[in-house]
Amino acid sequence: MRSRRTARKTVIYVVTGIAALLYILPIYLIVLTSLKSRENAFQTPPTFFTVPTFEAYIQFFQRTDVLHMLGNSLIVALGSTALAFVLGVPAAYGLARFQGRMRDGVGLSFLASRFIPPIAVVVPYFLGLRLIGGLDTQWGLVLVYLGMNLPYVVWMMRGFFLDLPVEIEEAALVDGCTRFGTMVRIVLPIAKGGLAATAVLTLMFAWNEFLFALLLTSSRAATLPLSISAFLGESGTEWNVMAAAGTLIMLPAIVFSVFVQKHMARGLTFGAVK
Amino acid sequence: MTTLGSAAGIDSTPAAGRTPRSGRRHRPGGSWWPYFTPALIVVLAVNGGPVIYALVLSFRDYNLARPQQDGWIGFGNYVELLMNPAVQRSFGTTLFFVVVSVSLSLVFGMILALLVNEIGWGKKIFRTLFFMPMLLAPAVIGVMWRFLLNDQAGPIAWLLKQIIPGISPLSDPTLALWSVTLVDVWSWTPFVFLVLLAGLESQPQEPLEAAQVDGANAWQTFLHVTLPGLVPLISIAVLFRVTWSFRAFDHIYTMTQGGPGNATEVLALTVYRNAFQNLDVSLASALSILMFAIMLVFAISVLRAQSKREKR
Repeated sequence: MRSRRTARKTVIYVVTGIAALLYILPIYLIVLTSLKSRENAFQTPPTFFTVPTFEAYIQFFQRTDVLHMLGNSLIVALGSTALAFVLGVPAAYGLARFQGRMRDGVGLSFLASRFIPPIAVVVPYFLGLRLIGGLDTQWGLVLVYLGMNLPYVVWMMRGFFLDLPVEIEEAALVDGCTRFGTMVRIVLPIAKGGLAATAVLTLMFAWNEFLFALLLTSSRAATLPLSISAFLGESGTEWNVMAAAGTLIMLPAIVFSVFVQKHMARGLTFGAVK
Repeated sequence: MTTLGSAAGIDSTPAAGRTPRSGRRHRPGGSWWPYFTPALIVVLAVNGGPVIYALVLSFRDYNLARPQQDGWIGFGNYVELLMNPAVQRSFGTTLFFVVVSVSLSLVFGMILALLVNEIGWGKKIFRTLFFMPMLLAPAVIGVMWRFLLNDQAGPIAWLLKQIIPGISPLSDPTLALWSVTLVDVWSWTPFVFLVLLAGLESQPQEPLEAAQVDGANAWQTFLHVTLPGLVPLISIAVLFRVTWSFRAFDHIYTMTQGGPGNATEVLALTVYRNAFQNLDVSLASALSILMFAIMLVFAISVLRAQSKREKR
């Protein structure tokens, strides 16, 4: 009986281990290729190990626009996240506590926004931004990402606030704290885990976003994911430089997936799974 | 605890109406409206506005190449869409892409969740490894696989060629569609895995033990005890998976740009081609509106079914 259980455990470990290796193989191969020299990256049969060289990274950074794109990416991701939080957190708190007749209607306007396919609004964004001079600007992209992130922040944080006991807040109000003061001093510190998970996801949405960046910017406001469109040519692609670009763009995602696992299932399902 | 919707509010559609509203509750502190009105205005302007604009455009004949010829044409664009063989083909491609991608990611996600749930020591490491592709930029995933599968130096194409000589995963139209679909499976399986693992970790132990006492084998226990308990989570996972795969653009654009020919042209790419290559923004808008409508109908029916099940 005992040995059967051990055997079963071993099988599970082996199967899961092989699955995990296969699963991570593509990511490993990209990081590996980014550390190869150009000739090495083109070699057939391909090698699965290499003596690392940073040639590809140096080449990638020597392209004049990379730092500029990195700057744009940071500004747009941080800007749209900050705005979404300033507007969205009070809204989420209000929606969580509000009992009036319009509650479901207001809540649903935020929820429905999340089901708009981005491609469906890209033409109106393009024409609208062209009209007000917002094409290829950082603020134009911030505005568009705000439309994506704000409903998300509202709906996510509303769920976290609904989980908190109202009694503490009522006690604070009775003690003479204003409602806004209660939110800032009592509610937000308790909900800081939820705030952090939500912030990670809004930052990643903006950091990873490609469609709007591709169609609404060209050079001035181009973000980092666009740097890889340069590698879409048919032949002669410098795969090691492409891999270096990919690795750099993936880096925050990999760091976040290692360190911020709590609340992720909930964050990704828009609060449907706790 | 894994509860669905309820507190998080996925099911607080008017139909669900689970909170008793005893008129207006008077609490100190004044109105809540100032808290959510600014956000509401921004969302209506930045999201609602463009949708209405797209709707308006879809009833007009507006082409950026000849903007002076603009005029109302009623449902003309919609009729043209339904008659257009390229659009019909794109609907078919999208259907294949969504159905295959969602079902395979469900199966793989379920298997991985069941495996990792059995693991004691090292569980966190496995969870992290299987979660990793989740937050990667889809555009990067596309270029990355374009490299891995390319005919000249792609390492994974090379590995495949050792098994099936002469295979060319991105140049053959049928295989290209399978390739973009399987990459979608690869990148979204972590989501299903994470959701179902959360479900497995919180399932009550008593029914499982009872089934074992009754002599049920592992498969019977899974089929009759574990799976029914996961149904609400599976339906939420399906809702999100369909939503995301239906709008897929980035990784297909960077992997194949809809090609070879138009073998991998899903709806989002058809909208893109019509709007930004043919400059027929009206036709593109009509297709966008159709996409949004399909998504809304699907989302509402899943959420309805969900809240009905919860009431039972």
